[in-house]
Parts: sequence; C-alpha cells; structure tokens
Amino acid sequence: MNKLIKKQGSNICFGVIAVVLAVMPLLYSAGLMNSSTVLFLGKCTAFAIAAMGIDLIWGYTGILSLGHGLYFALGGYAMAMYLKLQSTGGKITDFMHTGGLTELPLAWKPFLNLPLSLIMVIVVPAAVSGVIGYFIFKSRVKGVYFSIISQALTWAAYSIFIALSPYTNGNVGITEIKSIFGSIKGESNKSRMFLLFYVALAVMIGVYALCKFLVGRKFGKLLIAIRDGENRTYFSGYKVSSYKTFVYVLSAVIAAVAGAVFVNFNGSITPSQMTISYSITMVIWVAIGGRGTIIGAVIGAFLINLCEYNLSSGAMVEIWQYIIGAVFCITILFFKGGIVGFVKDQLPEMIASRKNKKAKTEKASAEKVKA
Amino acid sequence: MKKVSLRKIAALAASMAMFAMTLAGCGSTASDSGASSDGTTSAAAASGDDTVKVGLLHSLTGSMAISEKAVRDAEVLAIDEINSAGGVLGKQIVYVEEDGASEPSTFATKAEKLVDSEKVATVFGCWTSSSRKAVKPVFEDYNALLWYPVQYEGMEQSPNIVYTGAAPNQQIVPAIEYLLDKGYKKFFLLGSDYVFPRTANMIITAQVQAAGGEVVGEEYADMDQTDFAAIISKIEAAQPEIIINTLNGTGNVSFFKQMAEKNYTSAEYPTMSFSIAEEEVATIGADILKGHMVSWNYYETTDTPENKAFVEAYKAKFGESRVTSDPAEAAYDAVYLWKAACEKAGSFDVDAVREAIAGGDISFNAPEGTVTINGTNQHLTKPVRIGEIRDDGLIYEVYSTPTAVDPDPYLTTYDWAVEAGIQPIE
Repeated sequence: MNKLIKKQGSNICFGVIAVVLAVMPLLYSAGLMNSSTVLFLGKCTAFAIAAMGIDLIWGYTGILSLGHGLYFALGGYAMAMYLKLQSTGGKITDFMHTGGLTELPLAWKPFLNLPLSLIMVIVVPAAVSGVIGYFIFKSRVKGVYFSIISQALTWAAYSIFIALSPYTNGNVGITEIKSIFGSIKGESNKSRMFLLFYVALAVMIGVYALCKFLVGRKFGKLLIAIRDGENRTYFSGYKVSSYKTFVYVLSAVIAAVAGAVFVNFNGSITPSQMTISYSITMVIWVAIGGRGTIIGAVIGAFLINLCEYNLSSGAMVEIWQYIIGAVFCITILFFKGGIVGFVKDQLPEMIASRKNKKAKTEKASAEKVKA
Repeated sequence: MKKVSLRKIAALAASMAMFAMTLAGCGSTASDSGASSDGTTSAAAASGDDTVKVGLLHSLTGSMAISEKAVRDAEVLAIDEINSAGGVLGKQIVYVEEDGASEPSTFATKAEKLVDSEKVATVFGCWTSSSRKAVKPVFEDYNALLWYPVQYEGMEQSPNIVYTGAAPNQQIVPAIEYLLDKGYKKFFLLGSDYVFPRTANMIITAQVQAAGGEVVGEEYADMDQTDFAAIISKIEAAQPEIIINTLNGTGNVSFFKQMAEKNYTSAEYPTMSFSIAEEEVATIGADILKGHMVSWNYYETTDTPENKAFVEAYKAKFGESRVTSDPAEAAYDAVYLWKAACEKAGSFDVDAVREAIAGGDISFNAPEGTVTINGTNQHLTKPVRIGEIRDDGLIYEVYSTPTAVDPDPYLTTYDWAVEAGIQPIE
C-alpha cells in the first residue's frame, strides 16, 4: 500500500482531482453548486493545462520562461476570433468597422472555419515559439538572459496587439463571444455547459497523460539532465538546443490550448492575458504547487486560483494580494519543493526524524533504568 | 535544531491557516447556493429577511484601484444614506464587494460570481471600457442589471446596463461645439491608445470637419508612456489652436509636466481634456493645469443644494482631503436611481425594474441637477458643463448647456455624424 502511494502518488492525486471535477456538474444539477462556480472551475482547468506546460519547461528542463502568457493569449485570440466571426456570421466585426476596415483582413480569414481555426490554435504559437526557440537556444542563451528575452518578447507582442486595434480591438480585446458549443450561461443551456466542461476536463487529462508519458521515459531524464548539467549533456553527445527548442514549442502549444479552452469559459480574451505579470502568475502556480512534478502544477493552479476567487471579496477585498504574496514568500522560503515537495519529501523526513528522536530517548531512558 | 523546527512549525501553521481560509471561502459559497439555488436571481435577493443584497464590482487592487476606489466610496456613501433613511422598499441594503483587480477577465469571473452565486439584486461597477465589455455578456446571459458610472465612448446600448455617466454627446460633442463657437479652428487630438480616445477622436474629427475646422494632428501614446518629447515636438510643428486631450491616468501627469518644463502654459497651448477631473488635478498639480479646460457633467464646485450636501457628506465620511468628481457623483446617482426604479416597480426583480426604467420617468435630484433615465437607451439625460481649472485645484464652470442634454449614444440625431458614418454595423 505504502509502496503504491509512493510510486503512483501523483497519478492517484490527479485521479482524485479529475473525479472531483467530474462530479461538479452533477452537484450543480442537484442544486448544491452554482453554475458560476462550475464555470470558474472550467477556467481553472485551463489554467492547470497551461501550468503543466510551464512545469515541463521550467520544472523539468530548468528554463524559466516569463512569457508564456503570450502563447496563452495567441491560442485564446485564435479561438476567440473564430467564435467572434461565428457570431457576426462571417462579416467584419464592430471594432474592425470602427477601425476603418471594410472587409475581413486576410490574417483573420482562416478563422471562418472551425477545423482550420483549431489547427491555427496550435500552428501559430508553434511557429512563433519554434522560430524564437531555434535562434535563442542555438546561440546558447540561457538562465536569466532567456527569462529577460521571454519577457521582452511578450511585451513586444502586447504592444503590437494594442497598436493594431482595428485588427485586434486594442486593449478591449475580443469580447461578447459564446463558447464553441453555443451559449453556456443560464439554466436552459446547462447541457452545453456540461459538454464544454467535460471536454475541458478531457483535454486536461490528455495533457497530463502526455506530460507524464514524456517525462516517464528517457526523454524526461534528458530534460532533467539538461536542467542539472547542461554541459555534461552536451558532452554526452546530445544536441541540447534541439531538445530545448522542442520543449519550448511543446509548452507553448500547451499554453495555447489552455488559452483556447479558457476563452470558451470566459467569453472574452484581452491583452491583459498577454502581459508579463500574467505570465509570472502562471509560473507562481507551478512554484507553489511544486515544480518538476506535473501534478504540482495542477494543484498549484487550482489552489491559487481558488484562493484568489474566494479571498478577493468581502472583508479581504483590499488585502487579498498581500495574503497571496505571503503564501508565495512562505513557499519559497520554507518549502522549496512547493506543496508536492512538502508532502513527498519534507513531511516524511519530519516524521522520520521525530520517530528517531523518540526511539533515541526511549533507548536512553531504558538504558537509564538499566543503570 | 530547535530554532529550525520552530520556524518550520510557524510556516506550517501559517500555510494551514491560509488553506483553512480558502476552504472557509469555498464552504460559505457552497452553503449559500444550497439555500437559494432554485429561485431566480432577484427573487432570491429579495426573499431574505429585511435586507436586499447588491454587488459592488470595482478594481480595488491593480492600476485602476486609485480611480475606482473613489467611485466605490461614493456608492457606499449612497447606500449608507439610503439605509439610514429607511432603506429601499423597507429593506436595508447589504453590499457584497468583489475585486476586479484591474483585469477584464477577472471582472467577468467576478460578475458571474455576484449575479449567480451571490444572487445580488443589482450590481454597481466597472470603470474601464474593457471591463464593461467583458462583463456585458454576463449580465445579458443571466438577465441581471449593471449600473455603469463612468463617461464612455458610446456606441453601446445593452438592455442590462444603465449608463449613468455621459454618452459622447453629453461630454465630447458639446465641448467641441463650445470651442468652435469660441473660434478655435485648428485642433490637435492627443489620446492614450485605447478604445475611448480612438472613438472620441473619430467623432471629433467628423464634427470639426463638418464645421469647417481642421484637425492638424492626431497622436496616441501608450497607456503607460512617460516620455512625451516626440509628441510635444509634433504639437510644436503643427501649431494647433487647441489640443483635445483624451490621455488617461499617468499619461496626463507626464504630458502636462513636460509641457510645463518647456514653459508652455494654457496661454500658448490651451487644452480641453475629457479624462481630467478633480482627482487628477490633485495628482498633476493645479499650478500646471490652471487655465486649461475640461468637460464634464459635474464639478465639486457645482452650485446646487444637493451638491453641497453631497460634498459635505463625502468629506465627512472619507476625509477632508478627498475631492468629489464626476464619476463619483455618477456612481452616487446610480444607487439612488436604482432605489427610485425599485420603488416604482414595487419589487427588486430585474425585469420589473427594467420595465420601470423603460417608462422613462425615473429621475433623481442629483448633485449635478435633475437626471432622468432615458427609457429607450438607458442612459441619463443630464446637464453638460465646460469647466476651467483654477489655482485652488478646483474646476469652475465657464459654460453650461441651457437645458439638460438627452443621451444619444449612437449620435443618430447629429447630421454630421450620420454623414460621416459613425454608426456601428448591425
């Protein structure tokens, strides 16, 4: 039993999370849960997906990207544009009209069609991250320099999206869209909401399985090798830059998928999802959950977002950010492995040392009695 | 050894406490929902004992917090006043606050939480257009009611939003008319790069050209731009008679300070601003801004008995150093207008309240003068005032429209706007 938990602990934990999530719509049907809570959990599912991608690149490969918000938003915008064009019936949108455009710009034409849009959700971020990753990793930019470049790129993309307001609606973003299955709000659209929720859940399970599959084999060991000793990995004959580029592209695509899922629940996408601070928030989810574990990313994303959701109202409406900040500081100072690391490593250690101590004192007292 | 374990225990206790708090939060929402999940939003809100629940949805953290707190405070003031005068339909107002965190997606999530989980009767909230656009579908899908208290760019009319700030024809259009009457011909348009300045400048360009004036330049600054040297040199080159300023937030501080560094005052380059109210004057400094013009519906100096009482109550509650401003006043009006609509409807039900509003006779003797909700577009009929900033940091009225102006969010009653095609597509 103990062995099973040790070996399969994260899978069991993920299974529990998935089952709890799967039950939520049923609770809503039974009147024990609000639809807004279910929709919020849907958004959290998207965040968890993005966090797993960041765990792959940061937790396993040791590349700290502070710009994954860019890919999250690219996926989000691609999905949102399809949904927006659905609601306008393929005609140009109101913001394009206000911006002086008379017909749909060529760049948005592919988004008239669902399969093509879904392909674009993956292809666009993959292409962007592929080009960036290829040049950065080939020239062996690493560590803090990579982090700075990733921030700068995100900032640049953010500025471009704001500046191209006839095409992207500037800082308002793409709003007033329904989900891919139609409207999901309200009692009458319950079945659609459930469908969307379970699709999101399935995507999350799929991404989890993919990540676990990848890190469970030689590939995963290589990523860890790159993290812990990049030069040694080079000397062992591996082309580190290709691996890094691959992981970067993969995590970018995962973030984009998350963005596309998020848009369906949120009903809008704005450039604020593309900011540096939003990208850092995603890294914080992983840090608090526990990096390099995949399951930690999921736990962190859910826990932090639920905390924010529940704390940022009522009595704590003005101080909640301090609380979240305190949690982050405590985690970094005392629990380097995040929540997962604490449960997996620090807690057993503490128990063991306590046991040892007890045994020692018992032994000592026994010896005393003898004497 | 001992020290380490103590630290560990302290950290553990702290994180446990955080976790418990989160759980408590979850628990309370779940239990709320269990009690009232079968009723409709408003019926459940009204079915409580002697209270009616309303939501306040503003950014209390993040970059917009500084502006939105003033609006939130005005709403709280109105709620307190109404409660001490006996409440609405015999019920005391209880407010639930949610933080939008200056992030449109958070606004959408929180709006959903308020109308669906908290079952509030109505919501007062938002400031930026992006946050309003993000929450609009939520209010429409759940058939809830939002009171939006800030002047904005128009081109919108949701049956689930009441707009208590000015539409473009109640702020921008009269201001340009005033300037044209005063003989200004060469206009320079300067704004932050987002939807309000872009739409405002589109309207202004059409209006100025129709009147035979000339737009000699149009420049946009990034939201957090602090260096205006390039823009100022473009202004110098264009030699405008008047600068129309739609900069927002920190941009204003940098722009006016850098103009002042070049010793440009309102005499050389007069400006007409649409986003500078008393709060901003206090930040930028009256010495720099004196002589410049602004256009709003309300100033702290507006001379009505209602305003005297409002300013006194606001300062008494939040401190002598606080100033009232147009958005704060519009937010204050919103609460009273909601009360009037509920009383006319005889219920808190959203449909009944909307029906009462559609009658077109919900009005309130506001600090700015009497305001009435237009039954068709749910904007307010309100007076327009051109003001001038003086040494004491207050804004004084130099012109006001003879009568209150009816709202026209799509500018359909203005020939030049119709000709220029300033209409959103269907």
